[in-house]
Amino acid sequence: MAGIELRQISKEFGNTQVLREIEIDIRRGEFLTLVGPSGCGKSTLLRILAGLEQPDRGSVHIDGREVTGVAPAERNLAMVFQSYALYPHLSVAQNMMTPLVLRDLSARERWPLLGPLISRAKRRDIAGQVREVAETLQIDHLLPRKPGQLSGGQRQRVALGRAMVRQPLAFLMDEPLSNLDAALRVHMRAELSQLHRRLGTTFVYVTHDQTEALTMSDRMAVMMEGKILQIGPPDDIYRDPDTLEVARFVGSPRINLLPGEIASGGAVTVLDHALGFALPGPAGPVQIGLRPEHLRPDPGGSIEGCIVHLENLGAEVHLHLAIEGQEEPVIVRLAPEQAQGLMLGTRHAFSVDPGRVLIFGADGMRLRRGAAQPVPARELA
Amino acid sequence: MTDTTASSSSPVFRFSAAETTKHVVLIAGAVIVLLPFYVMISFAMKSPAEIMQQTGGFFGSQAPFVDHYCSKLGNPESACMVNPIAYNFTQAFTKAPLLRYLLNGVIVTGSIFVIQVAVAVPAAYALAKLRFWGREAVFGLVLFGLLIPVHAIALPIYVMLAKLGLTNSYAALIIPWTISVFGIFLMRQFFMTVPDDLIDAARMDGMSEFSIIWKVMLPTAIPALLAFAIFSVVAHWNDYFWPRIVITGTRDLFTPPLGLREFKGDIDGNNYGPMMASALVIVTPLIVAFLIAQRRFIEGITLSGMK
Ligand SMILES: Nc1ncnc2c1ncn2[C@@H]1O[C@H](COP(=O)(O)OP(=O)(O)OP(=O)(O)O)[C@@H](O)[C@H]1O
Ligand SMILES: [Mg+2]
Repeated sequence: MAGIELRQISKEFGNTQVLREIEIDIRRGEFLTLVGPSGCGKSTLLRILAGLEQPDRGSVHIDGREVTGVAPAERNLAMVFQSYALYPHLSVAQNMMTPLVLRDLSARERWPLLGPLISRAKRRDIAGQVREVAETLQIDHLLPRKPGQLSGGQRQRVALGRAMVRQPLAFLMDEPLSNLDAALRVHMRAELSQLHRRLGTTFVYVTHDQTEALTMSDRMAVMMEGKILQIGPPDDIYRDPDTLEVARFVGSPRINLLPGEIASGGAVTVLDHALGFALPGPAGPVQIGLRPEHLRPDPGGSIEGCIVHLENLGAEVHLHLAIEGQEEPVIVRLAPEQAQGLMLGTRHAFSVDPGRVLIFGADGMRLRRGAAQPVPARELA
Repeated sequence: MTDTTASSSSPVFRFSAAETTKHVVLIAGAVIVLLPFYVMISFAMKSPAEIMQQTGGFFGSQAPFVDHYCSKLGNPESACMVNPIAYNFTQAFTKAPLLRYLLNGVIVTGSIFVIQVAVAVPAAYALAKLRFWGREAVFGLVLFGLLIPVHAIALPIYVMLAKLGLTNSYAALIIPWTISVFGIFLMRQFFMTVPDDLIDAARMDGMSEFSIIWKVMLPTAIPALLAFAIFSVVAHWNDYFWPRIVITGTRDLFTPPLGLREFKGDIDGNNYGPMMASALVIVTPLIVAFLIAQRRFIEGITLSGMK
């Protein structure tokens, strides 16, 4: 099925290469998140998709049509900006009407004074559409106000409304929630997901917050330094990262990394304890990645250290375990009942579930164990 | 009984040397600035004799006096008795075509301002928000232009206008001022504070670059525009130097400040009363406009921008 395709997109600003041969197929109707640390080029990629920026090389296709040189308004995409970018001198209703007035009325019908007279029916129709969208977003009582008289959350909805009225092929959103307070952000996360399900339109969502990416998307693309490192459903990215960078970026608290080794026979060890399985391939030092929730208290376990910090979040407990020779503490996530009896300042051992261990070679690439690992349903773009 | 509430509820006036000095200095400054206005208003209300003999205080006695010009024409003295205020202002409007001068002033300052905005706003938009080769160099030229005093280039401009046969026309009064580097600079600084996202949103909505300039940038820049309007209108309404150079023949093209010259050096000495009355008429529109626009003007100067 046709959707949006980005082919070999490269972009430079001066001498810095911001995007390197980006290749993504966005399926129609999916919620795709572009996630990555600040400055990795997410906004630039979204702006190229919108037509606000021209790529140096590569092409953009929408529904099979090449649109690389097409003006933003003619791509029929709508964008929601981080700063909302509402016209400060227009009322909410006028803000939401603007895209429709510009698209549906001829130049003559947009004339001041005379225009409204000769395009009465069309304008009534547009006002009707605006009202309808405003009602779905529950902002109809705000229509006469100016953006300056709205709260951040209300502005956010108006910006969303302005995008929705034109019924675009896809919504592009650049960190739309980052100016909201924490509680409202969680609420809007759910609301955006529901909106996506209801509209069934493609959403391309940019964020640097991996939680947003994990909770909202159908698929997420992890970007770093202008490259897409991995693209796939959030669950796959979390459980089965391709590289060390992806594993480190996704997940909160972050993944624990410990030094390990592949012996000449292929046996894998972590902190000189055997993990109990072998990997083919060259021997040498490796990094062992352990998610905090995959460690269990076990007196005979291979990871042993002193509890230096305890965070009780109510539903779960995070332990920080200092291990000799390691700079960073190992973080363990436990249910409260598992954590009973684990006191600050005491030594404890934890065991590892061998099936969950992620092993990364010296170059940061993931080393997979043939059959022991579930075969990922990977999207190779 | 708590004396903190007692002392805070009744205002306490305490002598403070620093405060007093501050106010004395400020009052002295205000007096120096206001004195010419005081003299102007006072002279506009007094009879020639009172002005010459420096009597009558601020308002003058307002006693009718004999208009010598009228009696010289052979009229009986009783028919030539006039009230000083009425005399000064009728003289101002009859001896010189002051209304015509005011109209000229409106035409010239209005055209200058409109053309300046039409040039400066798109230029400022390009300098603030578009990326093009040589942008910094162009902005450097704008800053350089700010440094050049008009008097330095008055002669070459006069020569060029004369060669084109444009002296003694509205064009001569307007054309040299149509490109205001100050306007470009001021608007550019303001546009820098407008978020890029707003422009991108307008592009997504389907606006052309010119629509963006006039329908998005200009409305958000009203305070800056108003500040510029006051600078521009005041400067050109009050300009004496340039009209004096290019308007040499017809009085029909005189602007208000040139009109003031009509009252200087008559046979019977300087006619201060009518002269000050015309000066009052000339400055009043500006003062009224400033008072109306005062609040937004100050907003524009401080370039409060937008959040
Ligand atoms: N107009 C520009 N001129 C020069 N460099 C730019 C320009 N726009 C972006 N860049 C650079 O391109 C890189 C990527 O920018 P981009 O805005 O795409 O990052 P981002 O991933 O969206 O970051 P953030 O999460 O902070 O928004 C940055 O290093 C930035 O400095
Ligand atoms: Mg960004």
